[in-house]
Amino acid sequence: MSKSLIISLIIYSIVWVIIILKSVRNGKISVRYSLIWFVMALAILFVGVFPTFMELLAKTFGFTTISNLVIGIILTLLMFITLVLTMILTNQKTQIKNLTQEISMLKKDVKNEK
Amino acid sequence: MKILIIIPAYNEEENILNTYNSIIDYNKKHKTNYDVIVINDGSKDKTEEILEKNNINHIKLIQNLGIGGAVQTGYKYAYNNDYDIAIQFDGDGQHDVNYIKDIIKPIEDGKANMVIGSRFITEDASEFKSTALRRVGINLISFFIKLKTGKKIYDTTSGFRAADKKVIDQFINYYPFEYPEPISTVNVIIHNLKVSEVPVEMKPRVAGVSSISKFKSVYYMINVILSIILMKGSRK
Repeated sequence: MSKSLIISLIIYSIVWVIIILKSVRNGKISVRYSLIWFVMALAILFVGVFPTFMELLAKTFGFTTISNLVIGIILTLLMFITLVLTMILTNQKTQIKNLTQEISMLKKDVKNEK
Repeated sequence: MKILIIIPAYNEEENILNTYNSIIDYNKKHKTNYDVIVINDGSKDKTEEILEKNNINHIKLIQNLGIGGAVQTGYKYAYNNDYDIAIQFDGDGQHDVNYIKDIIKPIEDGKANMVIGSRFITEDASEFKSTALRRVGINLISFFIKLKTGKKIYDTTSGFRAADKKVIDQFINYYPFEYPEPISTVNVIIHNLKVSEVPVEMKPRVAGVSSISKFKSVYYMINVILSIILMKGSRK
């Protein structure tokens, strides 16, 4: 793995950590959901810090270049995050539906009592 | 027995009053006591105005939920008000009030928990049997329901059905968002409740447009079949 790629990855992951930390402090991301993003940033950092391990990993799984492996890892993590987001979305859709139904029924009751 | 008719309505200004009046007239003529609840699913036309002006018992959903969420609101209303039987009835004039006595009879006799008003049991029951393409789709869904539950349901997409207390209980806890009829039917069978079908006649819709367009029908089929196959549990 080239020196410049290593440096790029380390800077890249630090920038990510700063963005996530700022978002959490501003209340834009809850601590709970920030964890997965920290894992993501740490994974990128790990790749930059342990290039020899990555070379071994790339060889084992049949990647011709390390950069391909890096992209593969990031892509997998992204897919995982999207999957979790879809689960949260589905859950919230049900919650919003239930709220809509309850409020609508309550509004009818309130109107009838007037 | 306390009987409730649930009418989901989305932009049904042209049909809703006629549908409502047909039930009221039927009640007067046959001395029945069918209560009505219209679920106005965030209509953008004059549906709400008509419901208010004619003093029709209704719930106005504060935002559009789609057919599944709207109908489920009706079942929740039935549950909260302790109804024995809840009947789903389209607001667009496709369903005929004269068949209500037929679809509630198996429940009254204790022979079924849920009854589907079916267009396809007998050959001559209904002049309107939907288009050829839609029948192919309905048969395909029927095949997968049989595969999953071992029970043959002929009219899988019929929105004319009656549910007893046990089924109402089930529907308030789980009711699919989209294309709810076939999926909820499978859910009822899987929970060892008895589903039966009685022949009914349906009319082509009087006005307005159907909720399923041609372009969406493939998406519809994939959705329904996948939901049925992936549903947890199987018949015991």
